[in-house]
Amino acid sequence: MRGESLKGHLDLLVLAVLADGPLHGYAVIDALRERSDAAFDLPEGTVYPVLHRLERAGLLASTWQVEGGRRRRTYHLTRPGRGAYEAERAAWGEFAAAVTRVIRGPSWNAI
Amino acid sequence: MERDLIDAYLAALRVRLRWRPDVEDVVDEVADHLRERAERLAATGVPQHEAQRLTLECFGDLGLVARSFAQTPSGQLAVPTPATRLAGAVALGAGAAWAVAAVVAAAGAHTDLLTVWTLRRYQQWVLVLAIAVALTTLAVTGVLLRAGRARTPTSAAVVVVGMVTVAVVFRFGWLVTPAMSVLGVAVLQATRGHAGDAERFLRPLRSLGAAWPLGAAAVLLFDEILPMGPADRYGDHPVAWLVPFLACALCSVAGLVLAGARLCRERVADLDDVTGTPAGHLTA
Repeated sequence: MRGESLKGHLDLLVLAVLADGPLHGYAVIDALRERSDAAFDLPEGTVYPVLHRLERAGLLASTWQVEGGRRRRTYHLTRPGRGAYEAERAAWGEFAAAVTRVIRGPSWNAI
Repeated sequence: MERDLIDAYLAALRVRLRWRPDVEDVVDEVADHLRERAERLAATGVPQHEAQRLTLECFGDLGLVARSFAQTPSGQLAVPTPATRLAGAVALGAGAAWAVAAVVAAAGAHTDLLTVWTLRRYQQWVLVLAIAVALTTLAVTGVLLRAGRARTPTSAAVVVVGMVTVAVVFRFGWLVTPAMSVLGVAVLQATRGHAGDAERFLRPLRSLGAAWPLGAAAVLLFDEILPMGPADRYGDHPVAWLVPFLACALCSVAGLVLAGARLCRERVADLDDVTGTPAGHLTA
């Protein structure tokens, strides 16, 4: 799936990955790849602006540590971020279910 | 000895993101990512240079990554440009014009509260007001451009309302506070919502946008509903007109000077600038 198709959904995906606990940027991207079975063909560098934007919006917070002589930034969900994630997840579930019903069509549903 | 591709990429990224106040944090974060991935690849037996090349290929073309740091969710670029720097200078000019307008108003141009009203002062004041409103409209448009909101209906509304307000103020200068309240509402609409890095430019404009409707409400309240102070020969209450205008003008001075100074201080972004860096071709 190309990055273009992910536009508008990346915020939810990033929030979902971070809902399980704090991660640094590299680990967020790794988790996105693993949990999607590498379905998302996304330039890794374009995930960082999303992390920064979500932080500025107050949905994420970050802390810096030094590991192996390198500065490393770790992100975690804030309380508003968790609320936004739950709301977005519920909305996506309803949307995906509706789209699936339409795609399957009436003949499939009648079975 | 082979050159370090990651170092070259980071140097080029720093050049392209130099307009961001947090450029060093961004570069450090990207460096951590690239080194981590290259080390993991190298640990599987991939030669170091090849590991770096593959790492950068996965990370994305330099231009694409630099642009993604500059884009709003709607896809518009929100970066400092020569136009936004010019808008900063215009905002400073608009602030100066409102300061002059406040002084001239207090000196008898708006009401005869503090000194005797004269037609000549009034005409001078109206001219300054028209200039102040026109420059304010231009400055607000520049700030919206900087925030990546130039191509929105609310930004277009600011331009239209600003032009109408210039005409109204030029013809009926004494109506400046109610007339500006409409422009204030348009500015509030256009600056609604979080704007990321550009918040520091939009926030001063929101105070300007909020001041004028409040000023117009004060004029209505203290001139018509709860008259304040003595009435003049027209039956108006000078206190109710002059004080809100002065307060709004000073709020405008503060907001425009703050936004203008911040815009002028920014380094212009050149997202395609790879001059002198070898990294522009790294992932081509």
